[in-house]
Amino acid sequence: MSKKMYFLVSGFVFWAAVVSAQQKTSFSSQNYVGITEGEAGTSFQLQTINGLRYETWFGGIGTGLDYYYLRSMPLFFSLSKSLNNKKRSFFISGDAGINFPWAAKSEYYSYYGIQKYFPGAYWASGIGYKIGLRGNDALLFTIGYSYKRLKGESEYELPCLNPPCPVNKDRFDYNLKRISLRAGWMF
Amino acid sequence: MSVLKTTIMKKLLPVFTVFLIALFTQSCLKDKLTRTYSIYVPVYKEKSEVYNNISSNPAREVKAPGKIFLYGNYIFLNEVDKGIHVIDNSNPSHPVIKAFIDIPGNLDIAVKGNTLYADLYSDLVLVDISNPLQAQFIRYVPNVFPERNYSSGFIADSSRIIVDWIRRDTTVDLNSGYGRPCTNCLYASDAMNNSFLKSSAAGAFAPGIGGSMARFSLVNNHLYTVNNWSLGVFDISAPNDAQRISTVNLNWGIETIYPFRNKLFIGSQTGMFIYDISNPAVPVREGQFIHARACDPVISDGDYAYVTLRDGTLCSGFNNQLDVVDVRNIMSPVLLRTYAMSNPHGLSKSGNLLFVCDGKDGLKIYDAAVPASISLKKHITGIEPFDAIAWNNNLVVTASDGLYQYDYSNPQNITLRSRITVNK
Repeated sequence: MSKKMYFLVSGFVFWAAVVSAQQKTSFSSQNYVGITEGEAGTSFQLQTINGLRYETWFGGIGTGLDYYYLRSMPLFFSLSKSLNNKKRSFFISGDAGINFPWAAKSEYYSYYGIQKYFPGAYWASGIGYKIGLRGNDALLFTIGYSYKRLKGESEYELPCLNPPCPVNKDRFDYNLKRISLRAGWMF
Repeated sequence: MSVLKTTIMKKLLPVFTVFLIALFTQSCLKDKLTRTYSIYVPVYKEKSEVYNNISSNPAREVKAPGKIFLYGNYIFLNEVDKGIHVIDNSNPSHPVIKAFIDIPGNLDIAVKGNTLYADLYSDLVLVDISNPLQAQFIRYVPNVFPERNYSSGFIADSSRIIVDWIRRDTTVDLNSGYGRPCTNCLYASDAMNNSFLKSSAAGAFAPGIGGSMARFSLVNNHLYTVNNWSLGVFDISAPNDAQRISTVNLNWGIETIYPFRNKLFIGSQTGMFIYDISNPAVPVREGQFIHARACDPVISDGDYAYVTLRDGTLCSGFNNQLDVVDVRNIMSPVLLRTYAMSNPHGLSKSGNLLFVCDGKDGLKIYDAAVPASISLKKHITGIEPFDAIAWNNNLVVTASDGLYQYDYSNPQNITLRSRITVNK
């Protein structure tokens, strides 16, 4: 994990501890399955966001699996706000973080011969509808816009008999934009 | 209910509208995929200008050392694809770069008498080196190395000569296909199939000892050259001339040529071939030793041939080893023993000492008194050597970072004499 991420997560934990101490907050978990739809087709996604709920606000850290174009694992901060405190309500949400590539073996041997992938930005925003069940449990449905970026590198040595042979590096930059549809369960 | 409706109207609707706009705006849902890669743009010069410049020009720093050739008190050191450094080696402890002969596309060197033979891409050029510090172009023989013409869609201007390549990074949109924004340049990936970056190594000491990675070889009045698939024989009895007198077709993947007595040992990616040159104009194949696909420099001391096999992009294969082959029966070479190596390139032998350039693993010096059981005497690490010529107790080694010379007069105490450093 990068230093930045370390500080961000540490900051979040500190914030959560302070807010929890005020005893108006409670732990909450949002768990989604869904699809992303974009130029590269339809892909499966899975997410879990865990954090604190405070009145109509919810903030947490999320991760998951994102199969759009290239399998990856986003790690992000998520913030959402319900429009009211009722059992059924609309809410808006926003995520921002980093997307870590987790390419399948076959994806490393693509046409372009990419050997390494690097993390890139991840963010998403959307609107949702919450249907409250018993207690704090609720069903969640969201539609949103999601962006993930990945970078790749293909390195190959040009043929020569006199070492060191020249090495050529091709760099790939994927900026992926899609619609996100999710259904989830909150407790 | 009316409160909810009001909430939706006032708060959610604007958000939803923005989202819908984003949703249906093409650019917001269009993936942007780019690839950034290198292209090489040729720098041309007129032929007359290039030939006029084939002379002893002011000395330059060594940047990409290639093959070496020992000639009297001089070392000719190839600067890959650029030309030849003329190094005064009167004192091996203090070699001095005296001049530079500009020969674009040069990789190989050979010298007989006062004539230096060198490749200029696909051509063979002859240079008068009566005084190496005042070298002069004599003539050229066209298309001796046809494999060094370009391919992969790149068509060089044949009326001029490429003297340099400028590397440029370019970014293309993968959504619109691979893209070829440059119509007359060479792509790095294409260079895999081209020869301008394929630098081979070494040279030969005339007469007798030569580098194991040479593609030129001089035997008396004949110059033998190998390209990927054939052996060319040139009559060089006239000092300022080179007439092709025959061409022998060989297997594909020919790499090196090494003369010993009246034999030529030819290294290829699939094996070692031995040709008899009792009739110098008509080499005749006598024996062969087939091995797994790999790059394969070879030397011989008459009774045994020492073959290094290595893998790599150009070489294919998965072998990195030294094969000692019994060639006492020239018609039927027999593998005596295989020794594991890291990534062996050129090699040289002097007396019982065998010098192996083992790539990043350094220079290895073996006692080869008993070829079936050679033993490592010294391992010099920290250099990446690719060819060596051992002669007169002086070992000249070309490496990625310079030209090294070692004193091996005392095999128990091989010492570094000098180093000409590469300036990248």
